[in-house]
Amino acid sequence: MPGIVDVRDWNTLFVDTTLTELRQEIEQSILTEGAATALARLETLRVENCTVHLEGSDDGQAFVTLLSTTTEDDVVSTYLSISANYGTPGRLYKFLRWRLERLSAGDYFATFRIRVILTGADGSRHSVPGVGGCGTIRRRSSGSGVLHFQPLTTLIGKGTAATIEYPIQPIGQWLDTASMPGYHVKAFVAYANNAAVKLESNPYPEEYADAVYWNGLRDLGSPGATQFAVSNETADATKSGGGYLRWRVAPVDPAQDWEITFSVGIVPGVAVDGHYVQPRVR
Amino acid sequence: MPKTIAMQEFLAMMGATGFTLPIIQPFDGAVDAQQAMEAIFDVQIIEGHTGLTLALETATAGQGPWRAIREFNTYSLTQAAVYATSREGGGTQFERFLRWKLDRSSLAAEAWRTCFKICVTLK
Repeated sequence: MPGIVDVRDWNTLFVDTTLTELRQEIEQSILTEGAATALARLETLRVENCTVHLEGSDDGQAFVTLLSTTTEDDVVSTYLSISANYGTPGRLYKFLRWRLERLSAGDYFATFRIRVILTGADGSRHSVPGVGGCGTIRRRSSGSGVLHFQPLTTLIGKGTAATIEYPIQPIGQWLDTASMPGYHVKAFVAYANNAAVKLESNPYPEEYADAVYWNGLRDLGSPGATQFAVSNETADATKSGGGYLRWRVAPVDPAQDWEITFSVGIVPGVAVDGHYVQPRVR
Repeated sequence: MPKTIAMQEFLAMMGATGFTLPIIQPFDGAVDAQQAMEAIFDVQIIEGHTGLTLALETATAGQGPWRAIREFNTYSLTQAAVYATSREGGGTQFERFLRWKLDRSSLAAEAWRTCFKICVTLK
């Protein structure tokens, strides 16, 4: 397993004025267990009205800032070690995450990436199963039971009078819900300008995955968190999961520029016998 | 058996005035197309900037040298298919590794933004 991980690869995150900060969820943070030292690098292209942080924590609750910048087109880096004292910026913590902190009232955004090179106590950057090294470096994905159907991401588009295809989640990433009696959707919109993300379900196999077969579950065009239940056992199209779940983005006025930052998580439903049914992503 | 790979999921980027270019896809995100005879790229650009180019590049080795297969001016919003083959003399040719690169052609030092995705089907 490579010892180089992205806390976040390049992307732009827009944040609505009502949110004072936007942070990576703990389920998506990087686990550094097995590594002894790290070199962390934070790069920015654009930063507007916010501070970009790389933070560390050992318990997933209290975080310490390891790197930060408010400057555009900037590169900052630091050396981290598990031998440093707890509570200090030079310590390599168990969890690493990013956070955007608003500086003053108003919308804010940043284009940035954070890469971390994790090194084992023996100097290795690659894991050897059973021998040590960085063998446990991985992303948390199921600790809380939340499946990250769509990690936080931003899409932006230019207004046009021409007929173009707007973003739809790729077919290989749709949620296969056929084995689940139901599930909860946890969606989050950090910023929306002239755009909405539409969550849709389709009861048919993918060869029938034409637009006409998709039921609209929710249109999310306003900042904030939304949670709702979806069942495969209801005739109500706005609550029925069917066989697949996907998202797509649609501008309100296609002639105008649009932007949206959103994420979607799935919490599996409980089966009749009391066992959780784990979702599969197709 | 054809295989479609999300070479780059939708990616939104904004550059500051006086920014540094090019920006190149990290090598761990590049596609290894060693076994493929044909590659069909599906490029979708939904936001762009005059003079900001998006290139599909190929190389026989990870350290390069890299050469462009096709270059798009991102200002021209597009959904384009690009066909390439690994055979010599068969038209647009690709080598073992594939990646993308954002660069400037006539771009002045003003701020810019773009959003795109790239899928590639290997046969």
